[in-house]
Amino acid sequence: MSLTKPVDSAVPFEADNAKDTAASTDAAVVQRVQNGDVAAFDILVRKYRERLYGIIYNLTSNREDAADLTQEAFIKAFSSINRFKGKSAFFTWLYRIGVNTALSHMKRNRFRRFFSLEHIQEEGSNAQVLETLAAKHKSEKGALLSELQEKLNEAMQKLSPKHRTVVVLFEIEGLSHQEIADIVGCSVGTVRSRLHYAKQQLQADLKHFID
Amino acid sequence: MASRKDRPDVTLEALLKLKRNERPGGEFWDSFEQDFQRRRLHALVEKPAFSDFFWSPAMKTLAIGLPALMMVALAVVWTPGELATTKPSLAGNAAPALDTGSLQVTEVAAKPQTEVLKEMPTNLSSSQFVVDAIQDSSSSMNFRKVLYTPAIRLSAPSGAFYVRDNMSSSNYRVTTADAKLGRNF
Repeated sequence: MSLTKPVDSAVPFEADNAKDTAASTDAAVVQRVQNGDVAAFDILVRKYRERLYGIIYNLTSNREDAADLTQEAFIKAFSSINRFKGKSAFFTWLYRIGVNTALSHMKRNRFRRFFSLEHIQEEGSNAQVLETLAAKHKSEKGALLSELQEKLNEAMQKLSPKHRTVVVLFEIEGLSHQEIADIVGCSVGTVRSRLHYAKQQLQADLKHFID
Repeated sequence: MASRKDRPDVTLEALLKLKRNERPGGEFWDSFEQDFQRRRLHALVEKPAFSDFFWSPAMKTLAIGLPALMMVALAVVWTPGELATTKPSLAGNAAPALDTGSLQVTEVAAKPQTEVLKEMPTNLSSSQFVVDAIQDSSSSMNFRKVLYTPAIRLSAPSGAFYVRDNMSSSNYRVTTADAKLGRNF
């Protein structure tokens, strides 16, 4: 039996290191903001705006609402940054604010729902998936893309907010179960079970596209 | 054209990853930043709303804690007065042995309640429980503990006729349980 570390484990190890470095950098910037350097908050905004927007957009499926709610989340974070004690990573805290802001908005407007979708950028492996789908369905790629995007969003919106949140954070944003548990405020077991249930629902709704 | 083998499988995970690529262009972020700066400036200069002040953690604690504290304070203020009236009768003298010979229950059936009230013990110096035999509407007899005070009667039951025993207040130590079971009578 070999005692050396498998090659595959080097990637998560490096990823962990990168996260630790990012967390310590964030902590330093947060410290500056807490000491009164208001402009330093822009560094955090530029760093996290796309991911936070992505989370909120995938929760609401509405880009105008997502833009507005992302700003609202950043304002909330800015206003209460003195209450951030650094017990968790800054991005966990920020994502929690973003998710809660989006969920409150969805609760307030549960009867007023319409989609306004972003354009899908075709890149790398995603382009291959689209080609496969186009060949399989013998349809033109542009039309297929629109249909797929619509069906994906419809399937996501059929999920309850708490199940949708877990899917967005895990499958789309690539966060770990533990990070999701910290953001959502539940146990890792609950995250896993919600994810399992949500994926079953999505499989059933999207079986037309899945091999 | 790629063969079927070269094509990746379309899984749920692959479909969901497509959503990672749903993102706005560069000009969106320019206007986003402008809007954000404006809103942050507004957040910096605006005074905190009254509702923010009211629902601050300190105010929340006060809002919940203050009524509770007042209730505790009220309970403390009221309790000593209550104890002062009941204490002498409960702990003033050692309980003498129950003289069963003096217990003679006389029945005064169907007496109006107002007349019975005139016969309430008047020689009591403080509130005391006294056993009364009470006849209810079905003419069955019940013994109950009734609290008497020199001035007012606090717990006299209504809708029933009284049959008072001739126990004196000094030798009274019959419990309700005794009365119900008919012990010492």
